[in-house]
Amino acid sequence: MEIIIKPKKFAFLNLKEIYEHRDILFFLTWKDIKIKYKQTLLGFSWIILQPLLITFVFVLFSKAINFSLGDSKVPYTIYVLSGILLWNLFSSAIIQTSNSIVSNAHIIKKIYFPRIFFPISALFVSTFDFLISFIIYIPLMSYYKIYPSFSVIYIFPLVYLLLAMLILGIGSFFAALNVKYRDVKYTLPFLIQLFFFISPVFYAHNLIELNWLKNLYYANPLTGIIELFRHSLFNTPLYFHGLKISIIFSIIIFFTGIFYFRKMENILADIT
Amino acid sequence: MKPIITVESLGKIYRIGTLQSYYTLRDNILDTLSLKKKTKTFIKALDNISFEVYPGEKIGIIGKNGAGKTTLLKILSRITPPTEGSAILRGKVASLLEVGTGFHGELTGRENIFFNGAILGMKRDEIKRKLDEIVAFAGIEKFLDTPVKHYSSGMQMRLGFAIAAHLEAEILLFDEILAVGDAEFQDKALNRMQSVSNQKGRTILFVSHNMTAILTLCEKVIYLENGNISFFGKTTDGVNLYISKISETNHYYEINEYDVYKYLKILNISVKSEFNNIITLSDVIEIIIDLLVYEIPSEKFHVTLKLKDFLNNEIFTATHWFKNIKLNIGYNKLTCYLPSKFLNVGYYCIDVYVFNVNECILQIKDKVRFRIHDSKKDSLGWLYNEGGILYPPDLTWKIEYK
Repeated sequence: MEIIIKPKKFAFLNLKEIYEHRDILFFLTWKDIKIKYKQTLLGFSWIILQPLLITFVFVLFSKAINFSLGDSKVPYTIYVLSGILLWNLFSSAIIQTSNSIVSNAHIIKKIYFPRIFFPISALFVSTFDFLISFIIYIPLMSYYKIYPSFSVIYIFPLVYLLLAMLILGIGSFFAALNVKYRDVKYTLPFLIQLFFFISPVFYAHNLIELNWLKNLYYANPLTGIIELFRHSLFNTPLYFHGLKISIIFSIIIFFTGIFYFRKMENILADIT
Repeated sequence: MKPIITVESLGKIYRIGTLQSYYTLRDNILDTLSLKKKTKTFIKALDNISFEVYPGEKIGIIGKNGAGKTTLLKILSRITPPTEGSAILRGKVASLLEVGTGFHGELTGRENIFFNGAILGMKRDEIKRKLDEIVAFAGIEKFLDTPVKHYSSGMQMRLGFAIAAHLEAEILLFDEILAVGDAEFQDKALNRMQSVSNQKGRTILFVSHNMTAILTLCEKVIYLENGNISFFGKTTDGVNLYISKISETNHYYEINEYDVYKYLKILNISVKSEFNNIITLSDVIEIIIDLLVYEIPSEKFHVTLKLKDFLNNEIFTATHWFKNIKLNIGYNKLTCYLPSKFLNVGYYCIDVYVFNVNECILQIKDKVRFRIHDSKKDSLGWLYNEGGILYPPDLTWKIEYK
């Protein structure tokens, strides 16, 4: 085994190194999950209660203003909940990943392993919460007699992959930026709120009819991701052209974020 | 034999500006808009360092604060990249810049062992296999499943070190781990490091300010000065050089005028002999403290001196108070006389403390250093060069023979 240390030139993620250190990634995730559930009083129940409460509000809201999903026959409750679950994963993961470097500064200054593990493990912790909260979804679906098609087996992983790329792209970008400019974190809640309204969380994408606006709308990858998720659950129609735009933007955001993170990675230990 | 560590013209430059730990976007915008031209200053934390280490060698890295010791270790641990040159490490590296990095109070001892072990580079099975050994070494059997926040700081430290002590790596990089903990812990840590390196032939790079530890553990030292290697060779020579360098001109210490304390202010501390500034074995040594007293808080308000040898081992502590000499309001010149032919040749250090009853109000540590030279007038000739901190005493001897 030979380690050569030289002034860093830019390089994309070192996949071999990531694989060799995979135990660390596991333990980082494991530690944060443990701590999270040890410290919160409500623990698991909060993760389940929170999306239910929001859904309840939107159901009331839809009744009040006679909000409709168009020609879809999917009950609004379960429709909106699917969006909120995915949305929750997105928003909590963005906040956690963006904070992951600053909050682990004490480790970064003392121990070396691939720094990308911090945002990745933050994503995994949020994913764990998502899986827990998804448990409520299954009985609800059988209550409304909605059975997903067989395609979930490959569509779910695809949905997760696209979402993970989007989160890691945005999250690692902000994680690195946050080290240099501490005021960045104040812009995040705004950004997340913005995404809530420009993504089809509590409404259906077919509300938008203008063609050019529709394309722009899908430039937000979350639109395509949520639609794909719902397509596999409720067999709602899929707008393929839009999905393609979402996927392309997901990939662009992922690479941009990772590139910036890698560029900043070398000086993280010196400035955190 | 191929060296296990090869370092070649390694350098690290920091921009002074980056010393500010973070910026806000506002700072940046204002800086860009401001008309003042900012001059960027660079500091060379490490400047063109080259050396080689062979398998099984134990190398101490010494030098003043800011000489680049930690930077060197951080580069070798890959925490921060160098700006020039290269280093090749031929073997698995475990670096320990701190004991118990990433410990979390909410997690139990067991959980922390797994987490800390993992981030230090242990595989999961390896940790499982060594768990009992680590727990026994740290002496925390009873508390293994107790959250670490209930541990005493000593226990946390022992646990942290125990994990590190069980790392399987050919190259071990240690930074100042002996600076923490009580004497017992330090002994244990030092012994462990010695036995690990002796039995398994591991290579150790050890940064410390503790010269006793360096002398016990290391065969060779790298002495860093302002980012350069000013000495690389036998430990005793390196330590002596270091000691003589840091001991040079501190016979007189003037206290910063901004340091204001309750009750009094120490103006300066100086050490000299009756006649001149070079102190020899046959001189009476005067330790003079000039101080201003504003207020006498109690009867037991006094100054204490502590004499230490060049390795920072304490020799004695003394106070004027037992001699019924008391401080007065206003200017005081307090002189303590060390008799001639009392201390041996060598370097010494004086710490000054001010106490009110048992509360320490002020301390001045490691600032005043002096050297005792041999004197030609001395009749005992060679004897003092044999070492020891006391002047060869006038003992009573007896011999019986048949």
